[in-house]
Amino acid sequence: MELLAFSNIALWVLVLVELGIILALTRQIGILFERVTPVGAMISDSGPDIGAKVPSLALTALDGAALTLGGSADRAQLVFFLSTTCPICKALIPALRSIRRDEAGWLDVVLASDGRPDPHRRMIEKEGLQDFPYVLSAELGQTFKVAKLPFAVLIGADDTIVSKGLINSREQLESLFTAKESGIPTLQAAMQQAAAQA
Amino acid sequence: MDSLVAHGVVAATVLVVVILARAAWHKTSQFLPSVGFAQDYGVLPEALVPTALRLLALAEAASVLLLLLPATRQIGGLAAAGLFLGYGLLMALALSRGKTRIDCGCGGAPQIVSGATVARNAVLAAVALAIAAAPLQVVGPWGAALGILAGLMLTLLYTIAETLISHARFIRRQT
Repeated sequence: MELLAFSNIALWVLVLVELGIILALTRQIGILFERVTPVGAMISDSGPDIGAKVPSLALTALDGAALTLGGSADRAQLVFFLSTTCPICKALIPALRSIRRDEAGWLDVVLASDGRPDPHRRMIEKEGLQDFPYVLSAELGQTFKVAKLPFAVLIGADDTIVSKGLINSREQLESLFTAKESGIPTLQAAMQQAAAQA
Repeated sequence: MDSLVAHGVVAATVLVVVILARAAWHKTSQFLPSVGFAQDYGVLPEALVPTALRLLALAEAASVLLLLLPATRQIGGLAAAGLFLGYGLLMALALSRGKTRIDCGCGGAPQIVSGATVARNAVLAAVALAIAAAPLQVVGPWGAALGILAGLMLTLLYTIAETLISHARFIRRQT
């Protein structure tokens, strides 16, 4: 009987310790998942390539001001494609605002969309986007083959596409600038470079 | 045999109490995120959601108290079963409307509402119903201690299952 009690207690201890270990392992799996999730913007293959010249388009902003794609010699442009019905686009507006403020020395942020102007005017008012140039142009979206939103294109001062991609988070938005600063356009290119050096 | 049932009831009660207490705690300590999660379900008009959440947190806390007192344990079991079934139905409703990317807001690890969370709620409702259906019996101090230990073990197992469910969102994203 004593042996039975001993083995029972020993097994209880074992089960509880093992459950603790399994719980710790499952949590660590979650942490690993979060670490390996790619944080760079997803580059789509369609549309003009990175490094290609931007096709010159004369656009008119919603408030009537004229706007050219690229075209200014010393300033870069971030064209951010959004829509009135996309919640992630709205979630990124604070990030866009802070980027516009922090990078004001060299970067213009342009918002782009298409469709009828009224819903966009309402969103501009609701979200306080009056400071941003806001362009409605189906042609612009087609030029960059924007299929999914939010999508952003960073155009360098030399009118070439520095980086572009599907943007779901502030990190991905910032990765476009990392691409400009490091001169490495994509995560894939960085990995190839690392492989070439090894 | 009867005492086996009584000890099982203690274990099950510990599990249900921990889950409900955590849900109530989650709703009150992270009130605004919870309101967001609940609004994602899109069942109630958005203006009513904060009040509804407060009431639900109260109902959860009340069920916990009812479950802990031996005299009201069976009513507490019924209340808990009602809550689990209600939440399960809400999730099924959201899923049937095509909302496959919303957070369940259940407390604990973040989980996307899916078939797994609906099934989980069905199991929990069954456990709570079993508590309500079991006859009232007195367990001795050792029996109670063992029952609580077994309940903690169940809670650990439940937490593991929940963590695994919460990983599903990563796995889906990469396929």
